[in-house]
Amino acid sequence: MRWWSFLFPIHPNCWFCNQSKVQTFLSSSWSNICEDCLGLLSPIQNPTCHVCFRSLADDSGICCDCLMVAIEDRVQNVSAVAYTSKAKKVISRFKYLGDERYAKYIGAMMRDVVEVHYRGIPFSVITSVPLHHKRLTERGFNQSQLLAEQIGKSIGIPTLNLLERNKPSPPQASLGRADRIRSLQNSFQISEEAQQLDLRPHTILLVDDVYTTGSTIRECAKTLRSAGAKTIYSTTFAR
Amino acid sequence: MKSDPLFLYRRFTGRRLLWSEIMKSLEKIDEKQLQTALEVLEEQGYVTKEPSIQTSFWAIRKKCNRCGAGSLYLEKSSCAICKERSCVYCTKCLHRGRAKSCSFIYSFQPMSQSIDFHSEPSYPLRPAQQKTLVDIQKLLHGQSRSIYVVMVAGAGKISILAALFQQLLSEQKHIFWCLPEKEVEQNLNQMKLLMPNLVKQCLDQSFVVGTKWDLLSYHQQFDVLLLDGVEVPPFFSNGALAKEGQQVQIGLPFPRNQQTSLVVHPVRLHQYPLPIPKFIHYRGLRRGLQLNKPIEPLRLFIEEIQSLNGQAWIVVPSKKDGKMVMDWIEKVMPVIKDKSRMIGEENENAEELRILFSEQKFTFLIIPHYLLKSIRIANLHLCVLFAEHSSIERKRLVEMSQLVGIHAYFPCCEVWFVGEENTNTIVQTKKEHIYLNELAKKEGYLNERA
Repeated sequence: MRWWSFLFPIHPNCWFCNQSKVQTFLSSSWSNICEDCLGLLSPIQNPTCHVCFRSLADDSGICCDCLMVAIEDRVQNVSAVAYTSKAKKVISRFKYLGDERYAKYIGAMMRDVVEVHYRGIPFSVITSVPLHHKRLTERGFNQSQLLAEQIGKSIGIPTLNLLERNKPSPPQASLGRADRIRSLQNSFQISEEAQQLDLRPHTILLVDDVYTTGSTIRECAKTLRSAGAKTIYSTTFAR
Repeated sequence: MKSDPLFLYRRFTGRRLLWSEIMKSLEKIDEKQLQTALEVLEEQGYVTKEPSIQTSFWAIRKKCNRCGAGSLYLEKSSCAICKERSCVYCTKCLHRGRAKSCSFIYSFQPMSQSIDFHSEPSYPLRPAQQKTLVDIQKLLHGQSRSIYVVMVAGAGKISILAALFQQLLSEQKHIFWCLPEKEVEQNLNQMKLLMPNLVKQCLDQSFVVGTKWDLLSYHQQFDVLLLDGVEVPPFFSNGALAKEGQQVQIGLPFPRNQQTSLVVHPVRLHQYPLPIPKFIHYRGLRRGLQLNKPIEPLRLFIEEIQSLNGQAWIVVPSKKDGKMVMDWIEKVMPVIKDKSRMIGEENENAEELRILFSEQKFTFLIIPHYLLKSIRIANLHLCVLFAEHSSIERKRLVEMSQLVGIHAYFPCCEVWFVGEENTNTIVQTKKEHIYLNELAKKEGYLNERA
């Protein structure tokens, strides 16, 4: 089949619109996105904050928000794209409309970012931000878990549900900065599955869809650290 | 109260809804109580229940029971609700809520309700409009299940429809007026201006204005389905129409299917003939534009528009072609560079450019054919470049040609098709315009000065 598709290539559509896209062999996931969508999604470019991956005007290292967080609470994060209106649309199609095909696309973009920025870090477990069981039955799936599974599958690392949410919280998108931080306090706990594990030797990659204030990631990391985990990194689709 | 079976039946009569849609419209309701109420209605035969997705080992038998999509649109997922790793969901009607193989669609049988309708004085119709109205009414009273109305743009469609709706509602008929999504609000506002009481009285289950996707949430509810500028798959209309229901399609090109009953409205409100498109054959148009060579027909068109002190759409098959024309203008005709703008994609900027164009802030708007929308400007002309392109269908060519010359102050506008090849589509479009003008003349509808 290879010679046939080499002679008569089928140009697949862009992942996020219906435009046909010319693809080359051994190209990254970004080559599946048309120029228009790529421009609107705006991949995050250097210089960025060394902690939260926010785009910075100069190479000053750490952004003001991260400076206000205690060093022991900080979690290093990398994200694929900026949180633009197009990124919002992509996330809402995936998360709220339930188009689970997007997990594959977004997951591939996040894997590329992880491979570039976390090169050489020996991850042993991938986990995701959990949903409360009420929200899970409402939505039918956990978007972060699907992304984690996609990344895990492509880089060959097991995905485990280390965390669970013990109290429901309102959607983060509907809250302001202070409320986001307050609403998540003590919302997570170690799952039954993970209680049997010794998390101390593991290097954990925490996956979520959006990084806004970082409160969800920090709260999850706090729970994992309290269970003994030493090194935690995070990755999100949008920042 | 909300979980009372009678309340539920009255609320959702004639509807076809997913469990999640029912839950959403009844805020704060106990799931178990709702389940019990629906079971009671099902036992009494007021509600029928079927799985949202029809699954099978054979791909050809897989189907979304809500929108009729086949296996091409069905995706597997691991579901947190049914705990199945191969729970199938439909991606075609996803924006209306997820139809999954573990969820059901509830069809509420329609209730025979009498419509409390008081007619109001109708807007006076011209003889041509009156004839079209009578022709449609005759066919609706006959046996025809499907009626096709060819109506030229600028024919005063809203006033004809207002009179038709009045008539149908007074006959206790339920109507669905199906429009393209972007035109629902505009058409409804025009109807409200013309007949405020009609809309106020009947905008409920008896008279519904919506898109083709809204049709999917109705079950045997309507006696007349009016498809206005939209094409709807049979699956969409069959579910929403009552057993003896009729479908009226208003469209522009003549239908290929000869079996449908046909009504033709060939004249505009101002009674001037339609502008006949001119085809200009130009060999090597694309190459000429790429190499910035002088393109005689395009130069002539631009000069003519400038001499007429008018404005023009220069329509191209794609965004890429639009950029090529803009480059050509910049290099070959730099004088009109400041008078030309381009719309490449649908966004806020595009809407802003359309407003500026309608305010006559610039003269030439270069636009891909799929983004062209009706703008009411008097002295407006049209030039379609690469008119032979396969992406521009006959329907689109006819629609575009009829977007100009609508204004009574300037009914004689220029419509040019420039291409490297004269195709059957172009010939048919021209013939259709000539036929419509001849028909209007024969019927005596044309203005004597025209």
